[in-house]
Amino acid sequence: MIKVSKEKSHEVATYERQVQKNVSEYHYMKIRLEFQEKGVHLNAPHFKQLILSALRDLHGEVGAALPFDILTFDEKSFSAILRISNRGLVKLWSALTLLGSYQNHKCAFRVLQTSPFLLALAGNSRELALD
Amino acid sequence: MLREWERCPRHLLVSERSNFQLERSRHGVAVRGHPFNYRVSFLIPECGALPVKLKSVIKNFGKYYLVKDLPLHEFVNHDFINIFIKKGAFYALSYNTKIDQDNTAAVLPTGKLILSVDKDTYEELGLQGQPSRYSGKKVMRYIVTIDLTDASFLPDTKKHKRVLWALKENMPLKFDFLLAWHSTDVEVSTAMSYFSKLKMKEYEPNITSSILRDLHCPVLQNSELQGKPEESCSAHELFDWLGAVYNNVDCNNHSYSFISTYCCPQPSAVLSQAYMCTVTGFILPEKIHHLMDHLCQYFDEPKLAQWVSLTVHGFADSPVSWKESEHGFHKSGENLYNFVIFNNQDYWLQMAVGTNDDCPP
Amino acid sequence: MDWVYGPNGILTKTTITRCKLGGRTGDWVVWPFQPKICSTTPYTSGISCLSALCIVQGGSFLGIEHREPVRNYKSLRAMRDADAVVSAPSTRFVWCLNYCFSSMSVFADLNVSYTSDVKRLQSILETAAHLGYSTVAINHIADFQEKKKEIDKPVCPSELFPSLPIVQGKSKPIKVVTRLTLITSDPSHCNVLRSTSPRTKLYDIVAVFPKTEKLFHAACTSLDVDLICISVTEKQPFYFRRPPINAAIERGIFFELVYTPSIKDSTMRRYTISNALSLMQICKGKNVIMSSSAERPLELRGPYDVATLGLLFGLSEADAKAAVSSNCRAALLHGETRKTAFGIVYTMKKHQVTVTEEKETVPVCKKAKTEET
Repeated sequence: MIKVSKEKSHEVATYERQVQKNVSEYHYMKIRLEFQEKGVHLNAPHFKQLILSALRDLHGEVGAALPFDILTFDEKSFSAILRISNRGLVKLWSALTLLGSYQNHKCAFRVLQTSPFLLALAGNSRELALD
Repeated sequence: MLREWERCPRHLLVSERSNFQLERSRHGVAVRGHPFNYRVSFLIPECGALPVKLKSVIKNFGKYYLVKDLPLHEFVNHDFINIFIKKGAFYALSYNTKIDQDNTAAVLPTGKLILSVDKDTYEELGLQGQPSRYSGKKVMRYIVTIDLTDASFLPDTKKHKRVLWALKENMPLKFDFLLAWHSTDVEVSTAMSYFSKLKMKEYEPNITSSILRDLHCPVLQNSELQGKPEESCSAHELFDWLGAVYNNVDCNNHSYSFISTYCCPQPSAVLSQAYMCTVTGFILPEKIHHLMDHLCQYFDEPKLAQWVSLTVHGFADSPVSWKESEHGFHKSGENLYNFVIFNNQDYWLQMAVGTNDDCPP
Repeated sequence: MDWVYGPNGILTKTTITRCKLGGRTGDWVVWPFQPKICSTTPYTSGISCLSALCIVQGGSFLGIEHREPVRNYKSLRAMRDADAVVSAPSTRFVWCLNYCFSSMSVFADLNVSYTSDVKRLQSILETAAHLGYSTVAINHIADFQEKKKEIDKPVCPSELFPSLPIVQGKSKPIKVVTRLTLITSDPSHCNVLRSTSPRTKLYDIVAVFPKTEKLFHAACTSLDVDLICISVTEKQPFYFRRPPINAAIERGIFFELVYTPSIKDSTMRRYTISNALSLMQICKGKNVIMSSSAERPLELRGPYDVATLGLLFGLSEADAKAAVSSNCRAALLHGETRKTAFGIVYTMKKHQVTVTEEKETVPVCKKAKTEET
């Protein structure tokens, strides 16, 4: 999957260029969990458990065994950044999409941004709100 | 079917290693070639307070403007071309238009007006264009490029009349535009009064900064772009780590942690502090180049830091990424680059794009 | 340009590459002009996808223009001129459709359940706008199984919502259209569709939910509808067969899969996926739309989320994205033409336009022209 092309210049040995295709093994997702009512409490382990159960519901034990990481989690807004291997992206995304409740509270995951580069999630120009 | 699921969307990462002193150094090409910049961030390791010089540089990033309902034919008007295009670098990007759904327009500093329009609009517009490279078998999107500086684009020429007719009478397209202008000899704000007949608002880039403490940081070797096992980290690992830093990701995890197993690339060292600064808005490449020059000068006096990093995020809905190469949005619209500036004027440059993009220059 | 005067309108001789509105490659599509619709200046409103149009005034031929390739400003001039005279009852305005009907890719959810609770409906619309949907259809269900009842009048969006929410990241408000879904289990239920019922005409989109194979066949081949609902709450009660599905695709009818039941219940989720997969085996991902049938804001999902779900249903990535964008627009336009044409769409194969016919008809037109002048 990775193509590396090196051009070492003859005159100047210090120039080097490398083009990597599909270099990232992971995909990153910025998500937020929305609830209908206020006052639901959720910490990071519960959040992870919730996503694991969503994966199990849709994709069975193989889905639940998909390794993914919660890189950040904000307990106030229920927003998080997830890391998932490329191969698991569609599985994780569809599981999040079909999740509808947490402990009898209706809820929905909103996917705010996805990227193969974690750095790209640090700047989303669609968030530029000027009045 | 499973294949389709497991295939990851294509993305490219270009890494370069060079030195600012080199004649062939292409750092200027990368910066100047990337016209629309949403966010500029830099990270200075082992720094607790921003040097005065750098502070004044980011304070003087310049204003940008939001003009509502700007008719496109204004850009083919020769008064406009003579004032803005010929006497400086003019940047315009339609605001609140999503390139995966809507028509989008931009004016590049090279004097090119670029329209990325859906098929309906294209067919009615009556201007020649090219099918978008990323619209699939059934072409749904077209790119129209008009060179405003072209010698044959003088008033009353056939070409100019045709374009004016298309944009003024045939299909009066209007957009909200983000505008900025860079000129060395004309005052920007007075020139901008050209648009005063329209609803225009002035904005300053938004600056935030913070100091990070006890940061795990990968060890870098300026000559080893691909890293060396046990000795230094690769450019890609650094790129990933910078993402973690700017997103406030905790790097203190173990392989057995339940929540996250993410950790800083190895080998790593702990920085006692690092200064992180982010500027958000509609930022001109000239200003970024200026900032980069000052970041290079940071090492004129001996510093604890080995390197500093400068990250630039492009607009996800811009019709171009670098120069005139087409940019699109496929689940995401990333186009960003990062400089790692070493204390001996060596640098690493990394440029990353997503699925609907050509390889960066 | 050669043209012939057909029995039910004007048959033109411009080439149509492919046509979604019930026809084959090379067919002519003609329908009578309705001044009401056209007065909204088609070239700026939704119906701007004409590939060729011909303008006829008082039986005389004003011009026919190809709209592809692009340099066709004459046609627009002609069209604009024609707009000035559309009020004249004799004016006929005929356009031919191109399969490229669907060229915009804004996102749409063509199924938001109607409820009399205006507040809830409003909050659903707000959520949809926030998620990035540009168009939403409010769905009224007419279930003849329960009891024979009249079809409701559709809500008037402008009355219900004085100000529509702005679509996320755009400067435009969300577009709200109306849709009727007929649940049919008996052939008699389809009469509403066959006769030009004034009530069904009020809706922008008409969908049918056939409960039996016979009705499914009828919906695909003869009923004048825009959407056919695929069951997601039970195991598919009949086989999907190739001929009716191909006929439906040819006629520009779309198959709809809704995803809200599979959020609510895991058994439904199984049915949804299994029925979707068996549909995809036959239709190969063509002419599918995905929508929510949401009753609450939290049941809505973002367009890219739904597109990802489409991969689960066996769609390719491009087809999945089309299922929430361009296909929805095509369905809407299908509805628009159905309204315009009163369901009368005449198609005629190209080879049927014989030389003799042409010879006969050309003088007629010339005659008409001379009469006019």
